[in-house]
Amino acid sequence: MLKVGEFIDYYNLVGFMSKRINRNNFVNYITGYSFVIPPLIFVVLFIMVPVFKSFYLSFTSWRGLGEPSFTGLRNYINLFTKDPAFYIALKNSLLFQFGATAGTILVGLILALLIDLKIRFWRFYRFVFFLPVVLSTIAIGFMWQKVFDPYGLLNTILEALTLDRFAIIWLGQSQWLAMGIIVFVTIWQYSGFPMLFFLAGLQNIDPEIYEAARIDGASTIKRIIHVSIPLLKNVFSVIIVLQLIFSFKVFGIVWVMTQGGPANLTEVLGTHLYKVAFTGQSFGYGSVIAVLIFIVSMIYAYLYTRISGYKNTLK
Amino acid sequence: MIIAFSTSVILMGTGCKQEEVSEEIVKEAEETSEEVEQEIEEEPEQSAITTEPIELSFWTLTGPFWFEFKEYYESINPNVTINITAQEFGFLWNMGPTAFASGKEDLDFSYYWGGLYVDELGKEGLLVDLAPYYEEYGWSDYMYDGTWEYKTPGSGMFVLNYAWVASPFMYYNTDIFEEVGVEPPETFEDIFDISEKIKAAGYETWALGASDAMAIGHLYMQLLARYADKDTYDKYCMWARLDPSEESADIFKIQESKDAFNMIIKLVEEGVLAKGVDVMDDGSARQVFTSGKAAMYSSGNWGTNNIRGENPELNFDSFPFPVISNDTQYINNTAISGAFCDCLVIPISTKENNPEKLAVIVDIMNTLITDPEVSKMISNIPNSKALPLEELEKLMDPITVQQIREVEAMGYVEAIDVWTGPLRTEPYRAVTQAVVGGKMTAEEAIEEMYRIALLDLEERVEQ
Amino acid sequence: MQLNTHRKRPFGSIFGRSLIQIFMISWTLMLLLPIFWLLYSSFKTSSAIRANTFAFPKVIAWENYDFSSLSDVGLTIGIYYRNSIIISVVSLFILIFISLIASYSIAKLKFPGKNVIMIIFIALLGIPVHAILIPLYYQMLSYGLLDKYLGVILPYIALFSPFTILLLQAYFREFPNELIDAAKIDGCGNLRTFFSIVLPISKGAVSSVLIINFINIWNEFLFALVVMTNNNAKTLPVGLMGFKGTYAIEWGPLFATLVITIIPTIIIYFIFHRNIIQGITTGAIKG
Repeated sequence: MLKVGEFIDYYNLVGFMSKRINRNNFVNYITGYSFVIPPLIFVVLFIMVPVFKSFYLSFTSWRGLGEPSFTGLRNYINLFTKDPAFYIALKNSLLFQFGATAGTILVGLILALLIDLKIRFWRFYRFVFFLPVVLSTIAIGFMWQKVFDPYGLLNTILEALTLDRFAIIWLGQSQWLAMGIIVFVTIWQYSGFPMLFFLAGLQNIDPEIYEAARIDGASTIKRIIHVSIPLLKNVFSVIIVLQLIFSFKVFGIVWVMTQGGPANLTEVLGTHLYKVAFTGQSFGYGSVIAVLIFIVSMIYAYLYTRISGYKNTLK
Repeated sequence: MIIAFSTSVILMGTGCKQEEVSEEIVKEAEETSEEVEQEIEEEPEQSAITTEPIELSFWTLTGPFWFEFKEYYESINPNVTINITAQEFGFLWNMGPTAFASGKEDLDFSYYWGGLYVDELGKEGLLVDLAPYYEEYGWSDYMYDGTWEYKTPGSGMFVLNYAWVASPFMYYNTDIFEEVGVEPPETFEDIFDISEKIKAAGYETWALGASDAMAIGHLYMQLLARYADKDTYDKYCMWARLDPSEESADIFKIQESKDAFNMIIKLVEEGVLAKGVDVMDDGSARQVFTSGKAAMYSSGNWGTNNIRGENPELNFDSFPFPVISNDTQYINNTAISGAFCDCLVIPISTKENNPEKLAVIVDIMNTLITDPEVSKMISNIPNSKALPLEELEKLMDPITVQQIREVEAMGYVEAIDVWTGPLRTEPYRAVTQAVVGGKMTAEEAIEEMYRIALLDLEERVEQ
Repeated sequence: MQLNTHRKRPFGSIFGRSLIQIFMISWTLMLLLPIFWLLYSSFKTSSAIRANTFAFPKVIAWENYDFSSLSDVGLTIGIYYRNSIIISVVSLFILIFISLIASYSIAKLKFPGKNVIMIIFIALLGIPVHAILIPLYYQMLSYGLLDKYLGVILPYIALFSPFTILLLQAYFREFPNELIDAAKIDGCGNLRTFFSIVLPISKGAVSSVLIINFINIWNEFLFALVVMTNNNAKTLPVGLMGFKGTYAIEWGPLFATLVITIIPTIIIYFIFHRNIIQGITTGAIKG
């Protein structure tokens, strides 16, 4: 809220600015708007409109035929009180998110630190460690599923080593183990991504600082802990939020490996939504889940802005 | 019809003189080729109806049959192109209704299964009522008895079934059985007995996949049909279609359902079902069988071709799905042949938007049922009487022949649909998975089914 | 790319270095062995795979790579490939183009309301397709775009532009204004400045954004699953799902298919990896 004094300043500013709208600025305005409008159109048409429609549908009951019928808050109530699968899915989504984010970042950090030491073949390692990131998640999922299949590679190896009692049902026995395996596969595939971010950050650190620390007698490990890591704070913030956002979207890897089963064991929000909406033909009910997913993503987006200091970007 | 059928079977069985037999065969062949010629002559007239090139979009499962059919049909009707999309099993089952309901273009007709579920789609006006065509073309005459005419009482006829009664069978590895020294079980009690011996020899007993709706749904419904009488069973399956209400939902809590769940639990606990049952789908389970790790694998008679395809060297045979025990209370004829028929459906949008396409699709259906050449392609499941059974038997796998005979000997009375009602949608299916995974008792399971039914009811009432 | 060596001598003791090498080699094996297993298994016959999952092939089963047997049962891998390529390339092209000019103008040009627009993009940053899957499906249905390339291309552009614009505008913000002013003095308009001066220098950021989006679009599964349902329209991830199911699919051809799915991306990565890495690190610093 503007105080009177500020208001007068503002008024003066507007007057001042209107005198400044000359031809050059005008051209800039036209260019600016016209450049920015295409993505805006896409985003409004294919994201914002559907988001509103999701909100609308969540208050209705609709089976895809005819018109949706209004049901008020019933879907929400049902979701929170009568849907045990939802809570399982929520828990799994969060488990996966934090596990995958923490895991990929931790491994990525270690790999980056080690590569930064520039031991022999560091370029080769950097090449290999990022390789799985570019591979198709579905193909990766198929492959790993064959490994963890009850009669698959892992169990075959265990049985060959007469470790039969370890040849368990990896993806079906316990929620933690199954989700853990899916998280493991994700870490396997995506650790290279944070690794590059950390490498970039490390590259930015002034060598003088290391020199000073070395002269002060700090060993390499101490230098890493007390110099490198603290200076990577910015990278940490950015990559943590990015990974949280990406891992929240998980669907493909779960669908290929377990399809959210068995019996909702590895259900995540995305698979639950798909099953409820497209299999169960309950689009109204499914939209509630969609709305919740939307709200959570907004929270993450907000987090991202806080972290990356968006205020600086808005001059 | 049964009499005629059985008569020809008996004739064959009692062994007529060779010359008579070969004469019969020759006559049949002549008749057949005449029919075929007639068909071929007729076809160009049909395709004259479609003067412009017509492209049809068709959804089905992976497998070679429809591609062979497509080649054949297109050779007769050069104006027609059938674009086949082979969908993943779960996808077709799940997305099918959405695709039909949303009136999606580019889906002109589809393979489907699960008669009564299709019925519901039809009642909601999503599928074309084929009753008029049945009348016009006399398709019923071509179908074997027991090829169930899927019908909820009082509703239309929304499918063309083209597979003979697909009975449930248990396939077994004859080598393993010989090695262990056991005979094919006749009752479930027998299964528990032989399972001990089989496992002692280091094999899994029964390969079953519970992660998709297919095999575990089959098993549950077969068990239910054996515990309950046909009336009760039908009420259970048709609940959603026959005046669903909170009172009638009590059907989900019947003791027979609990018995069925308990049997499944017992099968799991005693280690009869192979390791990993709840994470495997039917295909993976079959692979456990064909790789020689499991002694038995349950499927329908469509399984024969799949098994041969996966492992041609496997020595296997089949026996009819067992009854619960020899206690007369549990011997139940209706359960001996359970039907789920391959069928074709036409979304209503095809009829509304494209009557020319509809005409061609009807012609495709007609060819499917009445053309003996097509019968030769589905040589594992006799599809229609277009080709006499004796002819078909020469083309069929010997195990399939044996299966047909076995079912006849038992005398199938009325078929049941194992794909009905509760198991088609996700919440229900998770219940059977949970039971298999040992995460739910039978008591909890039936309560859960009931609870889901009530939720389901809410949705339906809204519409 | 020069890495920061905060030591002038080779690091640490031989013991320390060896330890690290062992760790690195282990992780390398961890990453490469499964892929290697996939590769050599794809040359085994299905019965050989069944018999011994991790043995080397005794006989090279070239027929696994004859995908006509898969086409005969409906798995037309070639078609799925083609679709994925077309969709990825077209989406990428349009996406990058409009994002570039949008983020440039946001970063460098002054016009009222651009903060509001930025806020809109930021807000839509993390939205996964799940949140709008149902309405988008029916929207595409109503436009008649189901099973058509545009049915996925248009939403992909919408879904991935916020992130792209955000990254690029942060980068352009850092871009030295002197160069731009110099061009303006020479008489270049905004557009020309951008294409002839700014863009060539920004290769790093542009390629990083290209790669990230390519991977996202190529791998996108859920939306394509629901929209591209007819065989001619399916993308590769969606088509691969056809291998799950009741018909007797052999492990041999399955592995072969997985191999040809990942080989091209490996090759592309092999050729362009320096650019990719450079791009992401540059983007990471500025982003």
